[in-house]
Amino acid sequence: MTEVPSCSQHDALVSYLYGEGDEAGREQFEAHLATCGSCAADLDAFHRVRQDLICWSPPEGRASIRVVADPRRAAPWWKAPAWGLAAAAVLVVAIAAAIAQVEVRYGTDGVVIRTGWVPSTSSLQSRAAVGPVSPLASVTRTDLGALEQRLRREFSTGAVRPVLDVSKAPSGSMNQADLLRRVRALLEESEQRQQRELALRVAELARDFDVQRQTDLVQMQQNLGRLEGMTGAEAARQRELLNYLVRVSQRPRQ
Amino acid sequence: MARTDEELVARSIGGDTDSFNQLVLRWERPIYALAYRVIGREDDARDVCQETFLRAFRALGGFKGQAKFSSWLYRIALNLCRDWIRRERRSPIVRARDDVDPLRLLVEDTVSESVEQIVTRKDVSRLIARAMARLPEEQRAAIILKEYHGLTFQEIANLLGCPLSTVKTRLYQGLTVLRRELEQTGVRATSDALGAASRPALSPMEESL
Repeated sequence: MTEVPSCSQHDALVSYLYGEGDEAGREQFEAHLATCGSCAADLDAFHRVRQDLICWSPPEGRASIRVVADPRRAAPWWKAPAWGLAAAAVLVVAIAAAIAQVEVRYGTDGVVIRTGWVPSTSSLQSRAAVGPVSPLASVTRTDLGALEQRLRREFSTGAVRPVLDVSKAPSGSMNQADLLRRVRALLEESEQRQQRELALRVAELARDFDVQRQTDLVQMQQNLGRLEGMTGAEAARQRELLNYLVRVSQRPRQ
Repeated sequence: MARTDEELVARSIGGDTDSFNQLVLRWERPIYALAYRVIGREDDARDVCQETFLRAFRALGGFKGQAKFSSWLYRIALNLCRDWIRRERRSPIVRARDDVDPLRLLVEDTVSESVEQIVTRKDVSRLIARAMARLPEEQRAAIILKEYHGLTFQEIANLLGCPLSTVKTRLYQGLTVLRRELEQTGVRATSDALGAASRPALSPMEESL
């Protein structure tokens, strides 16, 4: 049997064998086949191999696997009914508002939305008593002061206009003098309350000042004591060193 | 009218299990045949086939349609086969079917073949399986995907993650080895004895590819 020299056009041979590639490449390889014994022999042999490969059939086999929907499995959340989603949304918003301490007020200056933790009334009062005056408290006193000044000015000029419409009073017996008396009584009461609050605040400040002064004094004493202890220890070490030097210097020379 | 793979995949992603079962019915035989030809063991091929569809079902949400669904399945199955071969650390072995019962085969197979032809075909099949088992894994995969699943060179290159020219080289080398093996084992003469008319036609799954 004569040995046929091998050829390097393997890619073209395989493409031609399986019928892939363009027409030009096919015609080109057919022209090559007419002159290349190696490729012609390979092509013939590969055709036979492919015919043999058809005989290799796998046994009947299946995956034997089927997907079954689990009825116990809950439907995904996006498939929940609309009313359920709406209820859940309201609940989430309510919880979020509770956590964020959202406060919505509607007043003369429009709708006010405020978030964050607001101290309770009692803590607000105690802070006003011992610390700097809170904006809320100062506004109240300023308003009262302004009101007092305005009323006094109006009383003194005699241009008092009743705040309340006396003519529409049910009894009709409330005259202007009674009204002024009541207003003065209210003003005095407010003034006394402010004075009491001021006195309380001054007392709190004095107490805080004393406490802080005592604390500072104790701290200073401790620092001084520590400094003295350090100095004493240093002096003791120097004294020891001095004694050692004296002893060494007094030894007789050998 | 039968739905396309892509339509069934979309329905499966939406939670329609029946659509996925239709995909399994459509592709379980090709995937099993691929696994069997690569691995060579029926039980393990069935396991690989099942695992392929399980993984496909779990990862269905991540299938974006970049490739054909069948190519995606082939890739999963080939990776599983590769894992199996590495785990077993041995070449695929095709069990010889020594218990061939001619009467049983007569009932199972087409009546156009004689008993002798059926037995001969089974023998040829076994010899080819042995010759294929001797091929390197890359050449075997390329020949199986080309011969039995009809994939193009480019599809095979994509599946195996190699250049197109490498696929052609592997095919050429594999066919060259098979040619030598089959000539030595005498398959050629046996195959010729069967005659072209008695050769089994492509199975429905292979015709569909």
